[in-house]
Order: sequence, then structure tokens, then C-alpha cells
Amino acid sequence: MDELTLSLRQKALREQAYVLLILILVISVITTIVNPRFVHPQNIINIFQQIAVLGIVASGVGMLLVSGHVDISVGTQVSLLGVIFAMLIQRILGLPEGNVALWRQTFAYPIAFACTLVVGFLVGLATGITVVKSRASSFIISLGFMSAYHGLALLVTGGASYMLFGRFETLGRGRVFHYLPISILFFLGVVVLSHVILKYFRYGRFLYAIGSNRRAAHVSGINTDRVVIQAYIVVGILNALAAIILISRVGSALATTGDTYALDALASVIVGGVSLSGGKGGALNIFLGVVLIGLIGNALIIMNVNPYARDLVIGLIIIAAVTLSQLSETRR
Amino acid sequence: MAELGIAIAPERKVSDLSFVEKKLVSIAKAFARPVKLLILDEPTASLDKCGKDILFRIIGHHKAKGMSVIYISHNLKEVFEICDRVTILKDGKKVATHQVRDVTMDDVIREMIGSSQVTLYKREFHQALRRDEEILEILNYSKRGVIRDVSFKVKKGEIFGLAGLVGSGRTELVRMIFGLDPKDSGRLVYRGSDITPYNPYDAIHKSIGYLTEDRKFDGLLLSRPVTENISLASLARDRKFFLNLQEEIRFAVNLKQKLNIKTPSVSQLAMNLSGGNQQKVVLAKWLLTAAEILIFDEPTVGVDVGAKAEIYRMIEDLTRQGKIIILISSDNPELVALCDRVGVMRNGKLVVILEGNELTEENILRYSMGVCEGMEVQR
Repeated sequence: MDELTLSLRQKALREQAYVLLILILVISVITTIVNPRFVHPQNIINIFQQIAVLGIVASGVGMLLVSGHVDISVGTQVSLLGVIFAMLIQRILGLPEGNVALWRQTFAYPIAFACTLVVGFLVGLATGITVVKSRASSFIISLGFMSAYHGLALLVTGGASYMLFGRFETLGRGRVFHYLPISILFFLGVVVLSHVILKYFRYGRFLYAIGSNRRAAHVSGINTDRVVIQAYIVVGILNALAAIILISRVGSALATTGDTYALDALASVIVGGVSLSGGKGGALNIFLGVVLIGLIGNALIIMNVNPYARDLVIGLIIIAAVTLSQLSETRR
Repeated sequence: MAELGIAIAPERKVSDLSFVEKKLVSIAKAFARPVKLLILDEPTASLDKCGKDILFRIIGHHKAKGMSVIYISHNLKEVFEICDRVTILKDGKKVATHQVRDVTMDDVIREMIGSSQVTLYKREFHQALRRDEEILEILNYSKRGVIRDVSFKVKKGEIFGLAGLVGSGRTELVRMIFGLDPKDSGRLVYRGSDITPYNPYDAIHKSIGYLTEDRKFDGLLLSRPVTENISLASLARDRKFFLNLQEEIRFAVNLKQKLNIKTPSVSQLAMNLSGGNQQKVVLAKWLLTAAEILIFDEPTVGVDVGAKAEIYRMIEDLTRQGKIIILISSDNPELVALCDRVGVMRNGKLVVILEGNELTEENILRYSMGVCEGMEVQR
């Protein structure tokens, strides 16, 4: 029996993971041949540091997509949350020359952290409730929210950028044992957490059920609306975490700092093999997708290709991935 | 449309028309070009008396001009009213063609049932049902335009059948009972206490299970393995944070053996199973919740003969455990073979409850179509 339980399903998902691994290896080998500096440990760590923020955003998007729902507003969410975080720090601590009261020094970061996470929660709640209650396509609703959050970020900043003046670099640039970037640990932690949620939590099972057949899930007693809203909230909170790490790394916040993460996160989970129609894929798929997308960006730079080609390549990869998965599904 | 005698202004939008008007427009559409042969499939299903008169006038008028009409209907009265010849089809085969004036409605019904009726399944076990043991009461279920004040009682260990034509409101009724669809009124009383569920989650908590009509539409997670399909409703009921994967597989393997679900492994995706085995998976899902009240909506549609018999045996086994079963089926022999009593629905109303000697295919068909001796057809 145990021999038999190792079924087609696991094989199929594993095959997908193998394909991704092979792709990652092929790209790595080619890049190394063109420029051996690629395999330098420093570059490898750079890649992971660059994809840490993407990975955190993509984990939320991936879990949401498992339930068959999309959120393309994640990019502007990250921008908005980053702006709020940086603005709070600047408001509380003032400009670097000034004297700062002790309580301000003590509480600035906890307050900014908490507020950003709360706003992340609220942003997810707003998107989730609207998607669920409108019964409209989550793609279109989140398109609207994408613009709304962008506008909100512009209103908050008035177009200006908020500088941190190097006061908060630990999270984005800090390293453990002078080697391992802290942000990578957050990224891996979130991926592991996603894995546990999807595989071992009842909640994860509900996400798959809703993604596979929302009506059947409803008849079976699942409060599908609540589960989906919660998934959007998870996305919002993870975006808050991603925004804080991103701002810490970059050192300043603009109203557009995180915008590109929407496309990259969606590309990652789709290329990773989380089905667009939902009900399929796992944390491993999200992780490998993120690595692949991050790798492509880095490889193009290392190989001295015009950096503007990156978006073109990623766009083509999304199109190819979706087409292939659609074709294989139709053949069934 | 003037020619057809339909008084609807042509510039009005179809979405603004009433149901009957829409139907008339779709009939008028068929006359947009010269017609030699007109095929009408249950054209009066949603027409009122007036609309029906218009339709019959049009048909009569064009028939006189040489047009042929094939009129498909369950409504024998209409057939006898308007048709010249009648052909009876059964299970995809032609039974007979008659001149309408040569036959009676009874003849037609007899031929629809067929003479060489082989009993598919013989029930072994009939619980001695006593009148005072009516423990589930379905009270005054209504929904405007769909269900009209349906009430009945079901006994412990009874299989209560719901018969009727497609569109008679059976599925709509049980979806309301399960708390899936909104209703205007209706209460569910179990052993004297009100258990009317307000959503499926609540229904499952109140020990009700509902095997839906179309397993692919709202029964199965096709892209998920058998195990996850089987455990789904029980998971939704038990408020546990973590999954118990070992236990889940154990339960699934158990039910796979018990129901003889043919799959190499319980981690097989539901989409890779045959229709009969898919249905058994949905059945297993509700068995695992150990519900006391089970509603089966067309449980044997698209299921092969072998699996059918196994499903029947399973349902019968449930009555031995004293469960309450409401069985919807359009397969009348199935209802006669399996049920203790059968309620017949017609146009959203429960018209009769048949039991004992009265419970025959012929009676089910009569009441379904509203052709009954001593009872005027009600529309």
C-alpha cells in the first residue's frame, strides 16, 4: 500500500520541480561559462539577498493563488507600506543631526514595525473583502486596488522620498557571522512557514480545496469567503515584512519603490508551477520559481546583457510557462 | 411577431422581458426564416396558460400551411391535445409510434415504463417502520417561483424518495434543506427540536450530509487526491488546527475497501477515477462525517451497473444503522426498488406520497406528469 501511495500526483509535482532545477542549473552553467564570477560565493549570496524580498511577497501570492485567487496589487502594496514605514521612522526620529529623546530612540522601530504590519493587515483585509463580496474576478479587483494603493502612496509622500539616513540597515544589509544576510533567513523562514501551512495546516488544505472547486468546498462546509479573505490578509502582512526589509536595504522609500514586485512575484509562482486556476503547487514550487526569476535577473547583468532586456525575458517566460501548463492540462 | 400574435414591442430589450415573454421571443426566433420543420423541446415547461394558447395557435396555424412539427414533451395532456402521431422513446430506443387518436394516455404511460422491467436491485432489509417514529420533519419549505409549501416527515431508518420531472424543484428543495440556497420559509425539525441549518457548515454540524446532483460541479475536488476529497467535510466540521495525515490516509483506505473504490492508491487524483468510483468517493466523504441525515441527489447518474448495485447496497446498509435517507432520483425503477415511500414533486409542489402497493413506476410517472385519474391537472 505504502508503495502505491507514492502516486502520480507526487511524481508530477516532483517532475515539475526537476524541470525547474534543471532550468536553474542550465542557466547557471551558461552564465558561469560566459562570466566565471557568477559562481563566486559573494554573487550567490547577492542573488539570495536580492530575491529575499521577492520570495516573501511571492510566498503570500503563491498561497493565495493555490486558492485560485490573484492579487496584482502586491507591488504597490509594498511601495505604500515601505513609504509608511520610512515616514514613521523619519517623523519619530527626525533628521539625523538633531537630538532625539530617549523614548523616541527606544520606541521608533517597534512603533514603525507595528504600524506597518497593521496597515499591511488592513490592506489585505480591504482587498480580500472586496474580492469576496463583489464576486468579481480577483484579477480586475486587485487591478483597481493596485492603482488605489499607488495613489495612496503618492498622496502620503507627496512625491518626495523618505530617507533613513543609514539608521536602519540591519534587517536588509546585516549579516549573521559576517556572512549570511539576515534577509535570507527571513526569506527561508517564510518559505518553510508556507510549506507547513500548505501541507500540515487545516487552513492550507482549505486553500487547495477552494482552488480546486470552490462550490464543492462550500458544500463540504468550508466558509470559503473567510478563508479567501484570510489569504489576502496573509499577503498583506507578508508584504509589510517585505517592505520593511526592502526599505532597510535600499535606505530610502519612494512611492514606487516596490512596484515591480507584483509582476516578479506572479511570474515566480506561475513559473514555479502553482496553477493559475488554483488547487495545485506547493512551497517548493514557489521557492524554485523565485530562485529562477531572481537568477535570470542576475544572470543577465553578469553576462553584460542590456539590463532593460530583463523584463522582456521575464515576460516571455511567463507566457511560455502559462502556455505549456495550459496545453498539458487540455491534453488530459 | 404580429403575425404570430405575440404582443411585445420589438425595441424592448430581452433582459427586461418576463420569463414567459422571453420564451415567446425564442419561439418567434424560430420563425425568423421560412420553416419546414420545427422542433420544439418541452416548449411549455415555463409557459402559463395564455402563453401556451398562443404557442398552440401558432403551431396550428403553421401546421395548416404545411409545416411539420416535432413536439418533445413530458406533458401527455399537451401531446394528446395537439399532436397527430406520438413516438415513445425509452433508454435511447424507440418503443412505438401511434396515431394519437388510436391510443389512450394509459397506453402511452404503460409503454413508457416498458413491459420487460428487470428489477435491478432487490432490497433485503426493510425496517419495521412505525408511524410514531417520524423523527425528521420537513416543514413548510417555500421559495417564490420555485418551491411551494412542501412538508413531509421521514422515519428513522427510512429511505424517502423524491420523484419528479427535471425542473420539478427536487434539487432546489434539498439545497434549501441543507442550507445551501436561500428560502422564503421552512423549518427542519429533528426529534422535536429545530435544526434548520443556515449554511452547509451548520448543516454538517447538525449531522446532515448532502451528496450533490453533479459531482463534477460541486461534489469533487478533481485536481486533488482521493484522501483529501474524503476527509474534506469532516475537516470542515472538526475545529482542529493541524491535519493528521496518517489518520486521514487510514480513514481513506478503510472507506476505499468498504465501498470497493477502484483506484491503485488513495493518493490518486479524483479526476483519474471512473464515474462510479468518483461517486463512491463523494459518498465516502459523507460517510466519514457519520451524518444521521443523508440527502442523496441522483447518486447513480453516470455510474456503471456494478457500481450502482454497490451504491444501493451501501445506502441500504445505512438504513440498518438507523440513518435517515432522502433520495432524489429520476430513475423511477430505482426509486421503487429502494425506497420505503416516495414523494412526487411537480411544479415545486409535493403532490403525493406513495407507499406500499401504490408505489409503482406507473404511479410515479402519472403524478410526475400530472396525469391522474380523478385529479384535474393543476398548473
